[in-house]
Amino acid sequence: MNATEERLADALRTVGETIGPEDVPPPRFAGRRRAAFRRPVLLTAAVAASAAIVAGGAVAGGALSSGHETGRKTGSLTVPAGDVQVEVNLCTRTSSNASCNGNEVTGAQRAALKTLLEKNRRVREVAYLTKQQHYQWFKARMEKAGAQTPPSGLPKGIPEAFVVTVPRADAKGVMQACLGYPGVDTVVVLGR
Amino acid sequence: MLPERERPTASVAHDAADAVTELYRGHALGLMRLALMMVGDRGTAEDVVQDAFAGLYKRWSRLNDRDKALTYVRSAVLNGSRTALRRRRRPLRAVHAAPVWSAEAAAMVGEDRREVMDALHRLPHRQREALVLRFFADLSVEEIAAAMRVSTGTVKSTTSRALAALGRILEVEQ
Repeated sequence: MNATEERLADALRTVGETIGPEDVPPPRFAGRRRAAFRRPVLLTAAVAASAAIVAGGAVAGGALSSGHETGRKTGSLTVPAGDVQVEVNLCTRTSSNASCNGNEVTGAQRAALKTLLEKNRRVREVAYLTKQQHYQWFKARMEKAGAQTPPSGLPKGIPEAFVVTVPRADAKGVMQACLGYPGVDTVVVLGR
Repeated sequence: MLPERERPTASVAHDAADAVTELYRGHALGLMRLALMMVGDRGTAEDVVQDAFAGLYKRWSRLNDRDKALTYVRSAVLNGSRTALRRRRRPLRAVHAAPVWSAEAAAMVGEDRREVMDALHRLPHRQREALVLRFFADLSVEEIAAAMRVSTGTVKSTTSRALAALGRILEVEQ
């Protein structure tokens, strides 16, 4: 292989490895077969997600917090079976989303989004991550998934984020509620 | 009891579910990764792969050569990825996550790999597909031709042109 081919193969391999076996959901094509297939896959995914998030919390000094005051579970970011997490990335100067307009999310936008998420009945838990916490959380997830260890130090472009725990069935609705909201760059449903 | 003519249908459905589930277990991860190369985000990649397997399941009874089921589903993933990318270009449909090699994920893939992926996505889709099937999926020319539904000669020329174009883009950026 020449240099271009080697660089290409390396990039493709690295990007490919960002998806691991635990990220493969049960098949949707045959409803009656799904239950039998889902159990072990979901169990694996839940264990992986919980471990990764616990690790992330530990690395971040346990700084993950929730703004809920409605009696819902707060504090930790463990993901109960049947729930998923939605990562809401906020605007940075380098965001490619045109609606960010090359600006960082403002305090008012962040507060309004937090209120929006907390008032959403489908949301079980909301955690705000600073850039540093988001990076540590992300890094822990990647290490857990066996992906290449990210370089140390806070990389340029890592955004602040909200990590929202919702029932799996409601993830898409929450994602759509956040997309296009002022100060929101991208929304990713994790472990779908 | 089912009428006589309906019995084979139930049997076929069972056969399809078993066979497609088996195929899914063995290849869903690789196909999700392949789709990720094409569309950039995990959610869309997952949808593309699920749709491809759903299509295979529906057509199972009409599939002439079941040994080619993987080729069929691989083609469906490529087609689905193209459709997903086309939809994004329409106004008001930009509801998708940033590519896994975007700025916020740079820590994971690194700046050099990010440049390569950006360059790859500046190529025409046929060239991109040929390169990903060759250098990620490690398929033979014949397998790539079957997945892309083109001749082996076209695969060779497309791959060659794609590599040259990719090299030029990367050179300019350095």
